[in-house]
Amino acid sequence: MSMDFGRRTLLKGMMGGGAVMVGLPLLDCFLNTNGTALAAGGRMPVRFGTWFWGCGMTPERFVPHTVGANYDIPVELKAIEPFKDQVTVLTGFQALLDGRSNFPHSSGNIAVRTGSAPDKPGEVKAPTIDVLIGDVMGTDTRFRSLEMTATGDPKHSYSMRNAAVTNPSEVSPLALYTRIFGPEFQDPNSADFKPDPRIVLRQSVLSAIKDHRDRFEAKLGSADKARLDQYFTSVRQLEQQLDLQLQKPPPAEACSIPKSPPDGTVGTDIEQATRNHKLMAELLAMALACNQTKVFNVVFSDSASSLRRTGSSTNHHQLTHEEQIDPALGYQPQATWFVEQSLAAWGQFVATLAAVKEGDGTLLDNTLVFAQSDTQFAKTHSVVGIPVMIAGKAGGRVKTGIHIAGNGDPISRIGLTVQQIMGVTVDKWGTQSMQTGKSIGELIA
Amino acid sequence: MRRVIAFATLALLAGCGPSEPQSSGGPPAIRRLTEAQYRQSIADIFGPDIKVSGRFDPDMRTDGLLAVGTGRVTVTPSGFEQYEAMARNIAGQALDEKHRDAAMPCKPASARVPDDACAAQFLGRVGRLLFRRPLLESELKAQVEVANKATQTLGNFYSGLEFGLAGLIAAPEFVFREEDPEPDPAHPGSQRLTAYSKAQRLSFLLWNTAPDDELLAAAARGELNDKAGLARQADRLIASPRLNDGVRAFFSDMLSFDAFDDLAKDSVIYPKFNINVANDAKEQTLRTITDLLITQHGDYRDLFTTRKTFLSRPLGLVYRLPVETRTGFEPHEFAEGDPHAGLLTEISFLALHSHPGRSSATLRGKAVRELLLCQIVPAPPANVNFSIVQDTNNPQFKTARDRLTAHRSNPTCAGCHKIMDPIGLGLEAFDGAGQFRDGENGAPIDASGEIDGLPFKDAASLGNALHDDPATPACLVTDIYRYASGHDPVPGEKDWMGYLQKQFAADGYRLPDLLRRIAVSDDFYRISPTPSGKPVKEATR
Amino acid sequence: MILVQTARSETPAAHYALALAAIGAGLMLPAWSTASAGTTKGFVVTAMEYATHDGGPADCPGGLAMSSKDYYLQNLPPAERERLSKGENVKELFKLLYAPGGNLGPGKRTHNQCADPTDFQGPPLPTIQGAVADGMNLDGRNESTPGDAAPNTCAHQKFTSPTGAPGIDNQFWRAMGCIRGYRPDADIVKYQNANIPGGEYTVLIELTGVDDIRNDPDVQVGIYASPDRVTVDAAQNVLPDSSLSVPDDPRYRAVAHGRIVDGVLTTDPTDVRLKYKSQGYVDTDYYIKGARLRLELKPDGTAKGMLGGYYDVETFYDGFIRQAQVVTSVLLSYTCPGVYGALNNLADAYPDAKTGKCTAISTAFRLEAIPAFIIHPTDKTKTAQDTTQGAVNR
Repeated sequence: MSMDFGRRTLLKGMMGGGAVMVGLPLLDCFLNTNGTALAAGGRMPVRFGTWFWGCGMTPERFVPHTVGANYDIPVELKAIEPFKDQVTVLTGFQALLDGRSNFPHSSGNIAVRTGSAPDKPGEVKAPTIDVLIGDVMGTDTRFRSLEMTATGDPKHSYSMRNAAVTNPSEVSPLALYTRIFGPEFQDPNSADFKPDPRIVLRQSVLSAIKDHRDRFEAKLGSADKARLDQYFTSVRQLEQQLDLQLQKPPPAEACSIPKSPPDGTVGTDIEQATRNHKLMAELLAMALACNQTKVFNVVFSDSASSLRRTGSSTNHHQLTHEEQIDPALGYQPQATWFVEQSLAAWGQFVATLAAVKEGDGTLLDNTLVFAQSDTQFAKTHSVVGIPVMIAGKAGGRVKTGIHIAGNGDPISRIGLTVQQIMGVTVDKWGTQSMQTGKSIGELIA
Repeated sequence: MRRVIAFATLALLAGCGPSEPQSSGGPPAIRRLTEAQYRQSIADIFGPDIKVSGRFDPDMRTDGLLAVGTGRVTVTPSGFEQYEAMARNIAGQALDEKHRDAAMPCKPASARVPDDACAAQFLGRVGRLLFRRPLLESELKAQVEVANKATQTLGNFYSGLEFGLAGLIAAPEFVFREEDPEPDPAHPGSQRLTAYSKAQRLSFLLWNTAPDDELLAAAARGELNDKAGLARQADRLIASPRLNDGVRAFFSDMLSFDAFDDLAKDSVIYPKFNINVANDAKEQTLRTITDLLITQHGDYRDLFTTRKTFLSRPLGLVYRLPVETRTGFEPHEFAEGDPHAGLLTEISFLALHSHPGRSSATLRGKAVRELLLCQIVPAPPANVNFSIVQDTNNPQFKTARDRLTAHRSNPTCAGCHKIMDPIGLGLEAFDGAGQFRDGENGAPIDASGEIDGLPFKDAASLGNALHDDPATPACLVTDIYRYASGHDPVPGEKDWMGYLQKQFAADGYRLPDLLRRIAVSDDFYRISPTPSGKPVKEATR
Repeated sequence: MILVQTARSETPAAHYALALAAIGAGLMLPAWSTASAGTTKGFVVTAMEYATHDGGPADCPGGLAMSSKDYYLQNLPPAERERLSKGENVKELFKLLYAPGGNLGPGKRTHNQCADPTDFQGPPLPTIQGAVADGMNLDGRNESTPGDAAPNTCAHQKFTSPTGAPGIDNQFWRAMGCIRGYRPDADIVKYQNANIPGGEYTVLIELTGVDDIRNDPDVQVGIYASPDRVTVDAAQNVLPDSSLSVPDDPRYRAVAHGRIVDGVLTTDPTDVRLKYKSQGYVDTDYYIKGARLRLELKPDGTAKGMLGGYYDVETFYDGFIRQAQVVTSVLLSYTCPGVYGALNNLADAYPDAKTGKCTAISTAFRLEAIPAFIIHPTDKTKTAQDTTQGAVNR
């Protein structure tokens, strides 16, 4: 069918100067306008992942002064400067706690990832977004998702179906390598393809619906007939989408088996963590390129960051509380150093995905990475303005290269929008004051 | 026995007034369910704990009503993708271990292999509620086959049956409300809706949901083609608390409350206005309406003057009033002399018809004309210069009245603004968030104005003017019919509209009485044989 | 009643002494019934922080207090100190520091230096040495009278206020002022203020029987801990005109007699109990005995001032130090035995009947407040039901 309206008119209604998304359709438009997706005839997989660092940032040194495209780069964002066009920065959204205690380093993190603030420490009332997205798009790969942390502690994972079901993180690059590329590795370019029998059954449902057409054709006037024709055309289009899912996916061109990493030590020393994070990022990039998984969760430092410098007994988290704000500088020099190192690792991660060529673009172009911390300014555990960044275009579905100021809106708007972009059928998300049906129009390409 | 007599008396009374003209009837409609109707139907059929999560294609406001737009919209590819996903999701919940016993009229012979008889029994029963008529034999057979095949593939009866059920929920017969005409034996040569189509009009008008089992049974027995039978069902629906749902849905549409979904105010200029205030403002007005019109059985025109309303704590902040009830609403009566009186002074109206950072006499005047009086205000020319109106910091023009007067001095603007601004200026004592204010930029506010030559001095007397304007109740009658039928009245329906307006006055402007008159009238169900007549535009829209 | 009416005609000093005597004798001030009908003014407190003062180097000439971690390391043999100072051994260090019993969650009790401060050694807490500090004159004396403490008080040093007012009682600040986390604009003050818009605690002030908001010799003043949380705007500012309920528990409803002179409200002493909660670590009461309010009522409807009184030492210690655990002594930099010792040494009122040792310590809070509606429970509130019928209020 021909779409005679632009994606923008379909997706966005302008209200009060801020774009809000109206009800709205995603997939068909993307299919037609994005050269790397369905219209090109193949199935280029789209991936989703999270990237986490603990203890936030320094607002004066992180938040860009300008909003929209071509935002300025404050000092703590230096590391993403080379990838500015591929990273969207979201600031000023808040975790609304509805009077519940702000459990340090936990309330904010859980609120961002689940849309619900905990009533007590450690509580997780709803699945994290990666789990919700994985339920939709992670079911046809070898791993539903892959979790890893650079801190050496498998408990450092924020991928949870509930408090009792946390997907543990891999802590060693070698173990991660063995899990992905060990004896059980399935080469995507030679593996057998077994279509999902449910797809065939869904097609039979659609086929039965199409049989209703004759009855309508017989009795309707021309205007109503055209409307019903459009309905049946939409049915046909979904059938075609399902057809594609019954076909063997295209070859994974960028897939090559990396060599095994050394069997190194793991721990919270920041140099060690940075090293292991880089190795894991490279392994992950290949795991994605080889279609082993479509969903991942990376922890660079845990919430209440336990990263430390060699020889110091005071870790990043302790510094955020114990270190005085230097009156001359206006910030905590040592704690801020950790923030800069964490964000440098984020830049490194983005660079790693961008280095893998895929089709006409890169692996990053076909991925959405949701990066986030647990606080805004860690000294006071502020959950107003927890920093979030989104890297990669998710196959053309996301608008990157902009700075979006939340103006105190519920931070669940970000999680809602990201889920919708990734194809989760959700119209409202979050609980209490964080329940929202308003996605962020600016974020949608 | 008593009931029958009562109905007979009513019928007699109806016959005593001016005689009801025979309408030509309008075209039959095929309308897409609104999101609220879809959700309510699913809740009614499968239980309120079944979650419906998905996005709906946007509705389209046509000639002022979404209900008219439902007869124009279709289903886009992404919209269908959502319908299909929701259908599978709903079917999965309806047949999960928790719900299947309640949902199933039978147990399969085996849980692992097909049982066509049991599947047919279930699908036939649920299908009748979903399609709002019994399934055709071919339809049932097709769904049983789908279930059979799926059961074989998956090795589970219930998993297989889910596919059969999903096919019904995603089908156009559920997503759209079809209306079928048939020859009218009482009036040879003219057409009426079939009994099942009548049931739909009745149920969606009064309850905003699909016909329930009893109404469908009455349709099956032919009772809806019989005056007494129809009246019995209409009275049952009107007497139910669910009439509130129907009335709320109608006024939400008439007052454009869907715009609340996108309503945003500048958080620096109006720090008190947030999502809770917006939600509660809408709820306040709907409660005010249902309380006055249904609970109190009051005069529709009093909505524009009533001092009785309902408040919640978030609203208390904006009205600057104490609210005892911690969560939820409590009744409140504004004191005599308080600037708040009537619907126009509620936050829902004031904030919805304002800009994000300032009030708008023009938007408010336009809303009064279009939403409440069914009059059309032409769109502004494309090249209009709004700079004077928008500059709230100009020391020369401190108040909105000053700015608009300057704007209106431009002759190309004057024509339209003089029909909007003088009304809206009456509400200038309330800012863009609906908060009462004494002045603007230090200058006092003059809230006097005029509506169609009738002067008023403030918001309360504007409410009185609307109360006394015959266009106010006439607009309600037309809008309810447009809402119920999905079309603008055609010329052949004009006399009947006039008759309903007269009867509305005779009934003391009681809404439930008006609804009943429409619901039991043959004219409501009459279909014009050739949908040729152009809709009447005149006083409507 | 007679007592206070007499007091009002007496000199200020006598007034204070009598009021204190009244409290010391265990008399509760009655809910003030003599205030005339008048109008009611409600306020919600938007900021409430300890009355700190930056007195420069004079405050703590010996430096700030040492953290429990530094103190622990300092007392180790050099080799062990060096070993435990290494990053890879940080977990072991903290295990030792918290031992025995480890670092348990809020409310948990264990035998450690914060839970049982008297069982452990700690360095004496450095205290404020400067002569200037903020607060109120609680005992009516204008200068220190070491040999002749006011009735129901213990001898102590007085401060001069930053504006030069003599006779300031703020022994709490003297005790805690050299702790890094308690310095002006440091952690504690930040939390105190952030926790109000954060909804962790809500304080209401209610003036009834007001005939003239500028001058009224006879008003009743309620100070309540509301169970409702404040409403804030997008920038976390508390909004005016919200409806907030008084608590059911009468302990959290204090009532005092007061007067307004040239727009400044002052009250007679009364015991005030407010809630204080912070981030899951602290859930306690501000239990201030003999508390009095001084509030400037501004023409724009807001109010600003101070609440002074005697903080019950055990209540403070339990809520802010014991509950907050050893980890907080590292983060805010103090040792629990040091704090416990200083508070008890410097306590200056409400002597224990047996030992004669004072059990409460003079303190003061700076307050800011804005208009609010204060809701007293009525039958209507109790029975009001949300009668939404199928309303979609989302």
